Formats: sequence, C-alpha cells, structure tokens
Amino acid sequence: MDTNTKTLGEALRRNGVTRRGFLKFCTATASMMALPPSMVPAIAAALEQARRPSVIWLSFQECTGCTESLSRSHAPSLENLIFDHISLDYHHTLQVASGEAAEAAREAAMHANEGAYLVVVDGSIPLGNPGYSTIAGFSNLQTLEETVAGAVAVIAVGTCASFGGLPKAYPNPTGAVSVSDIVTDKPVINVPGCPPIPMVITGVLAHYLTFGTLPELDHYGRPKAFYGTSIHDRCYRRPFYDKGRFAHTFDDEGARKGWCLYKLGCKGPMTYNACATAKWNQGTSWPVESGHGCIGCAEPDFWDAGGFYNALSVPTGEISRNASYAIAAGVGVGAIAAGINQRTRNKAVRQHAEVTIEDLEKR
Amino acid sequence: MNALKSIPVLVEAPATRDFCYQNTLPLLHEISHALRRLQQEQLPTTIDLNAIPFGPGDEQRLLEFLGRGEVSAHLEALGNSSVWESGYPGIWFIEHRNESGERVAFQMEITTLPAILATHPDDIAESLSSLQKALENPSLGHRIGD
Amino acid sequence: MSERIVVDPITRIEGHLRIEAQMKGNRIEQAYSSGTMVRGIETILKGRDPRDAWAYAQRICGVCTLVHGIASIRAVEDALNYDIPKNAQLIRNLMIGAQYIHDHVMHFYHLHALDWVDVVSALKADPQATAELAQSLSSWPNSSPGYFADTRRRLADFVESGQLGIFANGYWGHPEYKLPPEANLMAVAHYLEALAWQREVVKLHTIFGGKNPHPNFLVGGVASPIDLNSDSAINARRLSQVQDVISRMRQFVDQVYLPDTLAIASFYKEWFKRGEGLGNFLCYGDLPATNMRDRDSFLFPPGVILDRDLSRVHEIDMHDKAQIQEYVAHSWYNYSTGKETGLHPYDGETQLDYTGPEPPFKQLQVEDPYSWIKSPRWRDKAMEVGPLSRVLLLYASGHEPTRELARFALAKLDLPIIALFSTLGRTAARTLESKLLADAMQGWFDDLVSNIKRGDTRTFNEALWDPSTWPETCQGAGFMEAPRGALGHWVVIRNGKIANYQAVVPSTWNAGPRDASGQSGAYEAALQDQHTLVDSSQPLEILRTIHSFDPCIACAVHLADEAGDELIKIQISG
Repeated sequence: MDTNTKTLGEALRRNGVTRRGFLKFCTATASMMALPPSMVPAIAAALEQARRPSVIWLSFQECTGCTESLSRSHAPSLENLIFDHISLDYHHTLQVASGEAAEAAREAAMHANEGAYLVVVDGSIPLGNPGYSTIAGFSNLQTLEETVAGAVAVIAVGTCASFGGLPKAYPNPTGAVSVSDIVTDKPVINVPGCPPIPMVITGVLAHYLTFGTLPELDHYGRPKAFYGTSIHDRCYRRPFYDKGRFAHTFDDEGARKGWCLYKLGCKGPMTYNACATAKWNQGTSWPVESGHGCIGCAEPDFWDAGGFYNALSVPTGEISRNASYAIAAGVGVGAIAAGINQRTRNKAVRQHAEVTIEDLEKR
Repeated sequence: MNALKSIPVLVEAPATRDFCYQNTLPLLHEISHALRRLQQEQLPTTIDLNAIPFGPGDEQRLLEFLGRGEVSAHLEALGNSSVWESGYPGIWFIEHRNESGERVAFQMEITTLPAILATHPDDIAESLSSLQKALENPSLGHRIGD
Repeated sequence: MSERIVVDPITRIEGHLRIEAQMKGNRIEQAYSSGTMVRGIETILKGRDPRDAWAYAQRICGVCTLVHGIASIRAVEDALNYDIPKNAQLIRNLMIGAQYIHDHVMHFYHLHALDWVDVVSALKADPQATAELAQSLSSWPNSSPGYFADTRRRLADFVESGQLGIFANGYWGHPEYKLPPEANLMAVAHYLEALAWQREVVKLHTIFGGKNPHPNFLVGGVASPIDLNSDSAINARRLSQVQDVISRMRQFVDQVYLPDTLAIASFYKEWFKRGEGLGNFLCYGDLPATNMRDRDSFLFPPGVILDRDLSRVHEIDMHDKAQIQEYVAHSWYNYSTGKETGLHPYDGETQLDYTGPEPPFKQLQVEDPYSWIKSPRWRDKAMEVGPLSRVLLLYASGHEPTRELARFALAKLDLPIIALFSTLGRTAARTLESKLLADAMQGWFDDLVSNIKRGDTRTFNEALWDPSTWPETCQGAGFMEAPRGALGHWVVIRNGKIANYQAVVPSTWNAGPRDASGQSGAYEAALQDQHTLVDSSQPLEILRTIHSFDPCIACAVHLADEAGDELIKIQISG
C-alpha cells in the first residue's frame, strides 16, 4: 500500500474537522455498521489508523442495480466514499477511463496494493461458455481469478454475486454461479439483496475499513449485524399478524390500515435482511410499509421459491397466538417458513410450483 | 402545494397517545429503566433510534410524547447537528446531519449532558495555548474586540 | 494505414459494451458495436406466474430500474384486458416521469459529462470567476466564490493524495477538451451536487414502490393504497413528500441541468455536425392522460420519421409482422428459419450460439457474428430510438411546448434545427424532454390530488387478480417509452403460466450489429458519421458519441428462449 497515504483521522483533521466532528463521524459510522453506540470509542481509535484501501469493483452478469443502490447511500454518501474513504480504482459505471486505460488502472491498483486491496463483485459468473460474458476479451472467470489472486478479501454485492441470483434461476441458461463457488481460498463476504440496502453495502465496507477485519458472518456468509433477524420479526406490522389481522387484497381495509401482508405472499418470515429497521432511501419507506409484501430478495434461490403472491402455507389459525409484541420476537413462523423453503426448494426450482401445505404433508 | 392544502382532511400528527404499531411503548419503558439507572447508579445509556423498527408515524409520536425541554444546542461540524433535552429532563435527543442535510444518525442519550457537547480535554489544552498566544499579540485574537 | 481500435470496456454506461473501429488514417471508416454479456432472462420467465413476471423482467436493468417492470405489467394487463384505476395510472405516470428525470440527470453528470469536462483543468479555475459564470447562467443558490473555492480545495486534496480512484487514467489534457477551467470547476461542483440531489428524488419511487432501485409493481394497479386517515398508506404527509420531490426535480432541471447543457454545448458546436448516422427515428409513444388504449392522450406520440423528413410521420403498428423484425445474421444466436431471416417478436426465437473467438481474444471477427445483441428493424430499416426520436416526433407532430423549447435552445446556441441530428443534438434532446416531463409531472400530481379529493381512492382492480378468472390462452403486448427509447414486451399466457416471453428494448435498436443486408445499427452508423480521432490511444471522440446514446447493454442483451416455440398471434389494444 502507498505509504504516503494519510489515515482517515489525519485526512479529516486536515480538512478542518474538529474533535466533535470526528465524534459525530464515529457515531454515524457505528450506526451505519449496525453496531451498538458503546462501540464509538473503539471506532474512533480504529479510524485514527485507517487508510483509504484500494477497491477494485468487478461487474459480471449484472444489471447495475447494485451500483445504483450504492449511489443512494447517504452515510457515507458515494461522493464521500470516493473522496475520503476508499480508493475506487476500477468500476465500470463510474470510472472515467475506458478500454485499455481502464484495464491499466486495474492492473496498476493490483500491483501497487498487492495483498491489500479489496475486490467487490456484482453479478454472477457464467460457466456454460466463456463467451457468455467477456470484458476486454477475457472471460469473467479469467478476470475474477486474475483479480482476486492478490486481494485480501472479496465482497460479493447483491444476490447474483452472493448466490447466483437471477441468472442462476431455473433453468440457469448460462450456467451462472456465485463468487463463493469459485473463490475458495480467500474470505468472501456475501452482501445479498436485489439490490442490497445502500447502508448495508457501505456498512460492510466501513467495517473492513475501520477494523481491518471481516464482520461476523452467518452460515450463508452474510454479516450477522444486518442479516441476523428476519424481516417478519422486526416488522412494524407484526402486531397485526399476531392478532390475525391481514390484508386480503391490495386495496382493502387491511391494506389501507397497514395490516399484515402475509396472506398476499409476503416473504418476510423467511427473509433475513435489515429493511424493517434500516428502511430504504434514507428511511423514507420500505416494501412492506409501501404496501407490497417482501419478495425475499436476500435469500439464496428466492427466484425459485414459489410465487411472490402465494402465501407461505402455514395454517394461520394456529399462529395468531401471540397477543403481546416484543421487539426481538423469537422463532415462530419465521423458523417454520424457513424450513418450508428448504424442503420444497428443489421441487419449486424444477417446476416453478406453488408451495402449499398439502405438498408439505405429502413428504 | 395549493391543491394539496385543499384536501379537507389533515391526518398529520394525531394528538392521541395511541401507539398503534406498539414499538414506541416498549421503547418508553426501556427509557424509564435507563432513567432509573442514571438516577441510582449514575450510568448513562445511549439508544440508536435508527436500529428501532419504527412504523410510519412512530418516531413522530415518540417525539411528541416526550416533548421539548429548556435546552437545545446547535453543532456545525461535517454538516449540522441538533441536540435537545426532552420535556423529561435527563432524556436527550441527538440528531446528526451531513453536509447535504441528510440525517446520518439519530440517538437518545439518557444522561446529564450528551458527550458531544462536553469540551474535549485536548481542545481545552489547545484552547489555553492559543488564548495565551492571542493575549501576547492581541491582533491574532479572533474573538477579542468582538 | 489501416488500424483497428478496440475500446473494451466502454465505461460510464450500463452493462458490457465493446466498440471496434476500423480506421482509415485518423478517420473511423467502419465501427462495430458488440454486447458482450448474456443472461437469458426470457428463458427463465417461462412457466412462471405472469403476475410475478415484472420482478424478473425488472432485473433486466437496475439503471432504468422501472421500465421493464412497467412494460411487463402492461403486457400482462393487455393480455387479460385488465383495466387499472385512474389513480394507479397517474401514480405510474409519476413513477415513470421520476425515472426519466433521475436517469437523464445522472446520465448527463455522472456518465456523459466527463467526455466534455476536464476535471484536472478545474484545479486552475478562479473561484471568483467561476461564481460569476454560474450566476450569469442561473439563479441556482450554490454559486458563491466560497462554495467553488471549497469544491476546488476538496478536489485538490484528492488529487494530491495520489490515489485518483475513478478519475485515474482519464484523458485529461486531451486537446479535444475545450471548456475553460471555470466551466470545468462549475461542472465538477454540479457532478457532486447531482449525486446528492438524486438521492432525494428517488424517494418518489420509495413512497409508491417501497424502494429504489427496483421498486415494486403490481398487475392490476399499484401496491400503495390511498387512505388519508391512515399512517400506513398514501396520505397527506406522503403526498406532500411527493410534491417536494417534484419541486426539487423541476428546480434542478430548470436551474442546473438545462443551463449547464447549453453552456457546455456552446463550447462544442462542431459536435452538432457529426454523429447522426441513421436519420431514421422510431417511437412507440407513452404517458397517457387516460389509459394505454387511448393513444391520442399520450404525451409522447407514437410514430416513425424516415430520412430526417419531419413533414411526415409514419404510423407504427407493433403487431404487424411486416413492420418489426429482428435479425441475427451478426449475432450469437440461431434461427430455425435460417440465420439470414428476420422474425417478428411474435415468432421470435433465440438459441444461444457463441461462435466468437475463444477468450482471451484481441479482436472480433466482424464478418461473422460479433454481438449478443440482435438487430431489430422497422420495415427493414435500422432505427434510432430515444430522446432525440421523441423530441423529433413531438416537434413533427406540432407539440407547441416542444417547439418553443427547441427554438429557445437553438437560438441560445445560434444553431439551425438540423443541428439536432447529431451527437450533441441527442444529448440536448435528453435535456429538453426532461424539462417537458418535469412540468408534466406537476400536472399528473395535481390530477391525483383532485381525484383523491373527489373521494376516489382506488388503486387496485381486483377483478382479474385470480388466475382462475383468466382464459386458457391469451397474449398481449406491453410497450412504453423508456428513457433510452421504445420498449416492447410480448407475453403468451397458457393455463395461468407464461408460455412465452419476448422483449425488444431500446438499446437493442441502438446498439445492435449489422443485419443480414449489412446495414449498420445506430451506434455504428453514428460513429461512421465524420469521426476523426486526434489520438487513437485516447479515443475520447468514440466515447462522446457512444455516451450520447446513454447505452444500457444489460437491457439490450437479455434474450434467450427455447427455439421453435410457437408464439401465438397477439392483439395490441388501441
């Protein structure tokens, strides 16, 4: 790494940021990383040492939605991220240089930061034919393998890079695979979502930048700080679920009064993501709040998990038992529904079938 | 906006204390426990309001319930921040915004004085030395003579 | 001296595009446009619930994140003859309008501007003079010398750090950069401001669709109920947020985007003389005041203009098989009818057949197939779609606000109407239609509010939601004008599932390769229109013209369905 690079603390002070400003910055950083406020002193100490790491962003079979999502981040904003936090040395959508000059920038960053740069990937990698996706004449597999060789870690942004996503949906016409299917000798952090919440992308980047370590991950390689609870368990509409009050169509009394969208197919109970607390676009709203059920976009193979408007088939009479509401509600329907998802996924993948309670009973 | 104002029904800010999504009530209980800890053990508590799964209108209801007290402060560093004591002394709100005015953090502190308002010891040391310099050469002092 | 210049990746676009240019001296003689990534989304859509299709189709593209969702639900609604409530139509119009303005502003500042703006030169700017320049152009409040001094200092610190990040290896100092340092600094400041602005205005999508990118849509209406007495629905607070977004959009377009476009363009007038190419323009039309069957109520009129002839608008019929056809002679697909034939989307088929060189490769064999994009044609003619097509159609059909706006802009630049047929004409058209749309959004919003006030709060028509109410077989076409141009989705529904799905998208029209008869696509033709390169190792000129189209390549290349599947005749309403 370039030894002339200033630490973040130095850079902020040079820009006239006061100690109160720095504390504010650390407070916002803790909040963004979904860390408790008690972590602020540790963050402050770590940021004094943090340098702008080189980040190489590779785009494969993707739709640029993940980059668009990153551009919606406000804490830090994309402009602050680019100017103050990371050195974004290769990123097709944002970088000025094209063609050979772009590839030269990637190679220069890899060379100058050997063993220390981060690779971010959005999009899946097609293994069906190397010609299905190429950049500068190289297959995505070649580019990925060459670029991660000297990386310290890889962040797979979006459900396509994390789990294969839409290209991998049945019948997977191009043989698409995820980053972790290929990269097995480096840490891979999965940041799924279609797209991921902007604050989650920047939160994971900030975690690495601040502490120089990877956050704690779940069994799908997702940071627990953001993917530790189901949408359902943190949903503000959960009390209506517990009382058995549901919207039955998209414009009935229940829909208008904000009752539970479970019967309209909401996948909140089997989806682990931070939408219910982080919300979207600076806390403006999020899918359930706006009136459409969660489609489960942070889960592996969610495209093949049954229709978006088919209710998860749990007999609702038995689950409207919890009259009281607690912020950290425990298992309940989330665990049941997750089990359904696991057991019926393969069948659903093959047939795009609706998952019903009868299906479950047959097994 | 004219068209909007002509809507006959205004639903903003219902004056009731009906916490319809029920996330405000448990939070208020937690605050009261924190206040007790502060009173009995002098232990301050910080709550990150961004981590609370508020429903629409919940935050506003919480703010209305707690009201505003006699202290409010304004901080200008990396954008504006507001700090104010609620109508219940010892319960403070701290709202940080970035240079574009977007909220980057929103916290409650149950404490005697929020940490960000207190002057940092290093700032006091720097302050003393620069004041002494200014007294040696009054033309340097940017506050003297105001 | 004949040289092949290869630019891959073309950056600051959506998706994966490669341009090869065969040079004659320093002039581009032949240009070849190649989409280099395929996913096969239409194959994936088969067998799914048609009500789910919007979510899959939407992931064709996350930049124009709304358009495929809208085209998809319109296709299903057309197939089912499914009417939607008036509020739903207005909310969709508002969401479409917001997408346009967001997309066009981000394209101008974050994707296209750095073809004209030399960031390094901005360091030499005098903040005082920059403030004077900014104030002479507009009443936008951020225009003080201190403001520009801060921007310059921030930029200087960044450059001094030695880590140039996304600005590394730009063609800084290229003689084709002609703006004075002050104009460069102003543009850099607006590049940063536009990033903050866009975060605000996407909130319109979040309010109605729950998030952005990839907001939610609903066959039969919108999934955002209206209830002025509910916290958890579209209420007065939400409506006032929407009004705020519309006001911000109008203000930014009027005070920043429009003046910046004219100011920057005034230094590059020679780019109003090159980069046209085809001279044929196509538009499906969109943004109904009433409903999609009532084409006379569209803000954007449908039609075709041939050979620059604005005196005659040809009618377009999407279900006439003789009109729209797709060719694959130079694309990596097979047709059961033979590779030289053209197929209407009704009969469309797509079998992946990569015959290009084995990666890694240096150069494509352009006599053979060389792209994942097909070559759509209207009556066998190549067409340009997008903002320039729409503005020309509006102009040709006598839309007075457009004529007035075009006259105003051309008078400012002292250019004739013919100057629109060019690289910068395309860029200027994008700005002009943003102005038209921002104004139209206020009208749709006022209609929505007065409709609610009259007591109509319906947002969803439940009548045909249940698949058991559907005919055994039906089919339909959904079309729209996406920010990048004419977009069509065709769906066949059998027994409640998708039997076939086809999409022909804007960047397929524009970025497609040569067809069987050797006719170039729009990108190719534009590059073949009087482009000389000052320095072939820094092909800035290629980027300018390609970016003027705002490429969206994930959109253009998404096709792949199983061969030979019968597509049944589709009736397009209206």
